Amino acid sequence: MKSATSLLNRTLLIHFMGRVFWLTVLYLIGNILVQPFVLWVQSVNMNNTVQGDGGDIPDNPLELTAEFQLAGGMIYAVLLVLFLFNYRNREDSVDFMHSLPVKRHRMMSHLIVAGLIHITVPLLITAVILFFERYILSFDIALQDLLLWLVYSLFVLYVIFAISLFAGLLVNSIFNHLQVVIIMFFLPVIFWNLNVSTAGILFDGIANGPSSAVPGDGGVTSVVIDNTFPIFAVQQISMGFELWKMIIWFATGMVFIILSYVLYNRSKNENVHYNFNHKWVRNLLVALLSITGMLMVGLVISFALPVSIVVTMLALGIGLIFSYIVTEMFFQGAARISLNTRSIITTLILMAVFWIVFLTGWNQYVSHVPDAEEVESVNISSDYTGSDYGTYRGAADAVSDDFLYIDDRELIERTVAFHRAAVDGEKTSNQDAQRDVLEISYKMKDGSYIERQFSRLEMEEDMRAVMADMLDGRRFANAYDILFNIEKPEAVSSIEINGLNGFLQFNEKEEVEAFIKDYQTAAHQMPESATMRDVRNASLAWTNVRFPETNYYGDASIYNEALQERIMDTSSLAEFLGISDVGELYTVSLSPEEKEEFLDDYNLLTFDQLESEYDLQVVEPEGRASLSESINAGNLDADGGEILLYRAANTGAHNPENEEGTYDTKASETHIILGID
Amino acid sequence: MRMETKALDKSFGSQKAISNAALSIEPGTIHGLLGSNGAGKTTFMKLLAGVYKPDAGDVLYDGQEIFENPDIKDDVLFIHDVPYFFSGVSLNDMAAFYKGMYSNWSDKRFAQLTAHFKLDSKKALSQLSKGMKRQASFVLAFSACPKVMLLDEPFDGLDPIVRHQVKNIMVQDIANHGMTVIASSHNLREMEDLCDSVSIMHKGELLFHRDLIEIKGTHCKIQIAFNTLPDQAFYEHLGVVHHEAKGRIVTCIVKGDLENIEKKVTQYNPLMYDILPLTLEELFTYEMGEKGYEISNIIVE
Repeated sequence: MKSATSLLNRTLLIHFMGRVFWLTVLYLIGNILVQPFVLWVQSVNMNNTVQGDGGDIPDNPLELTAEFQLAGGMIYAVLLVLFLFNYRNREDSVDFMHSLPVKRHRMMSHLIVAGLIHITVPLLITAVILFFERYILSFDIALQDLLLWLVYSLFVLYVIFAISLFAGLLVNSIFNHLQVVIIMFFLPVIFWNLNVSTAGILFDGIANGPSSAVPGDGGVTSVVIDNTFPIFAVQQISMGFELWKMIIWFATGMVFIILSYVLYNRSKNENVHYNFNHKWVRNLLVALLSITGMLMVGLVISFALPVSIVVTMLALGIGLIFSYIVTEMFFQGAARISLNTRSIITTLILMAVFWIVFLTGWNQYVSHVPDAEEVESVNISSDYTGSDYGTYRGAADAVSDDFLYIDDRELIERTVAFHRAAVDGEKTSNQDAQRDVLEISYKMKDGSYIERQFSRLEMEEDMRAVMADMLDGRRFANAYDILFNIEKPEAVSSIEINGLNGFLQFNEKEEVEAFIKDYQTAAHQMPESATMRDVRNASLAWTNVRFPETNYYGDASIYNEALQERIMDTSSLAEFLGISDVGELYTVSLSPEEKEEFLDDYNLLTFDQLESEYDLQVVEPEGRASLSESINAGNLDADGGEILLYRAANTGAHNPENEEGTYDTKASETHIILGID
Repeated sequence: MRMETKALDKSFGSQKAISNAALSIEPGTIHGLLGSNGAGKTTFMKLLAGVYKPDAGDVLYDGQEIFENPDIKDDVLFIHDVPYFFSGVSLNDMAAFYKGMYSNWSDKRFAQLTAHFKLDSKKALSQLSKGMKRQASFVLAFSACPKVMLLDEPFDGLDPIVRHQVKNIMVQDIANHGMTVIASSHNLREMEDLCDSVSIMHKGELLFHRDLIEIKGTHCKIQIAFNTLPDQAFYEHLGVVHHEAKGRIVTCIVKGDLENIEKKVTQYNPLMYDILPLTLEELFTYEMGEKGYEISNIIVE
């Protein structure tokens, strides 16, 4: 009944709620099936369930199906709005509703309240079931996790509801409503990815993939991917909650609600005969979708055919016409479309603006080389390195910012100069041609990062030599040592260290923390003169450090006493290093000066050349046992005068070919060296 | 409730649907809005119901705008040309909705009218015939006890008996509660015996607005048979505004001094004469012809 004091008309509210009742019942059933039911099945079927890191059940069991449940919830929230709002899409119903003695903003309030109730109630019921289910499950669900799940699910569905609501006010058809919702959520990410991919064909230097050197970086595309709400919402479950982003999205949802009120108050019943309420919105969307389609079809054709200006232009032109027709078909809801001059002109103008911005913007982006003075440190890598350092997810503040970054001024200046040469250098136009890959990441003094990836460079031999020298990084081993760069040992979940023929793992919290502290103490005690420590034989102690939300990959020093002790606790050092079953084994005794020269040659010469240059002594089978014993006794010495060379059974080599189709594999790519007493 | 529109304009894109429409309806009367298909009747009715917002001008009920004014809309009920009901609901369900929306709703009236029209209030409205749906919409409207009832083509689909019953209830409400009714139709004869006043709409403009009693008091039709047809002086003397001659029989529409009309006719020695009431169509023939419109082009039955 109407009430002067009541903010809501009960009849109207019940009417709106009744329209989507059965949809909500379906959602509730689905929710119960994917959360409480799945957990119960897990509990019943798994007798020796291990909960926690590395176990069958995560610390928070709700995470098992949370992503799926959330994705389903988002679809439900969209459908909820579609059906609640559908009365606006028919002349008889919208006329009837707007002839009632209710102001439009009040009707909107009823719609919103009905929607929020339909979102909240099923989730609350599921939460209550989960609350009581906790007592019969064989694993624990923390009350805090349950509350967090409820609040987060509500947050996500509310935001989806708000954005979908706004979308509905732009159109007057349920089909168009669905289209606009999809466009609002996914057009930016699709458009931007196609934009970057097209730029990747036309320009060299774009790091469009995630950089392993920049914590939390996902590449140029991640800027939009990470901020696409449905993706962001699901990602947060696995990658941790970012409160500030959630606040921004919540505020965005509120803004959309306010805009919805404004649009609803201004809505005209007579527009029900048009698919879109505002022609300029329609024309803009047609233009954006046509440009997106143009890039998509253009890319597909460009991948299929050899790259050339003519082919690219033709492909883009066909793509534009194709996507324009398809978009009009969808927007007009008919296969037979009528062409609109304004829409065509808008599309052509926006396409021209797009290409001007695209070409200018990307040209500036790839041409930009930072001033060396503004660079704090640098990471440079290429396909020569053959190593995989860094992280691909998250940004654990437990690791030093210096990890993988070198602040040596000379190296920074050389890198900047090299970068400039890469920008100005010749590029291959044919994707099949021989290419060199160069990745540069700058950490700037203002805290920002600049990344570039060149994949179509045609380097001269001397340029390659300069690069190889820079990448040697012999003086900067600490930068690549992940254990050395951990700042908060207590934040580490586990550590895995892979030798050539051995494996070391730390899973217990205390064990992990103690090892890192011991390792770092030993690292700081290592003398400056320990040159062998800095030879990056990455595969000797390839280390994976796990944090709750992310993994870090890097080196560890086999000369570190703490590491040697831990290896010896479980196996032998010689076995871990792959010396026990090695094919070839050599030693060479060198003075400190000779050693410096030898280490340079190790990177530049082939093993045969190295063998002829230096007095390499073959270790006979009878001498190997005593050598292994010596190593197991802790006689590795980064500062030692004797060097051990060997080629382990599983040592691979990366063999890029030069222009003549041949490549002289360097000794550093085939043989491992160790300093011994 | 007095209804008044002032200089009302409404356009759909570049097409002018209503142009400078001014109309005033007295409380407790029935007004017929006449016009051919596409004249703008439904648009005008939606403006009166506060469904459409005028581009210019006002729609006032007792001096208050109706658009976005729930207090006024509570007393104004609009029955569309095709009655609208929520999908899958019964008359009882719709009644519950109306009851929650309109403050003057009467359960007693609803029960009486449902029984009177022999409607099954529990049956899904979608399963009813067109005429039954129309009856249901009248039951709901009358039960809401509005002060103004806006009816768009109200009697389409109703059989003559039900039509008569609906008119009776309407007249009772007008008599007992001072309800005002504005009904649009393209059927002149339908409106003739129902309306107190009528207006004609053509191409979005209100061409004509007149009280029927007033018109009937100043106009009449006379059929006269002569031996010899009279000259122009006869027509001027009688105040004939329109005449047709078939053989020696002349049919005239006369405006003005109706009390002395017989005295004037007999002066010209007619063989016989008969004074007849005017139909709406005949009235409009004259009135609209005077404004340069052929009524047959404006209203098509």
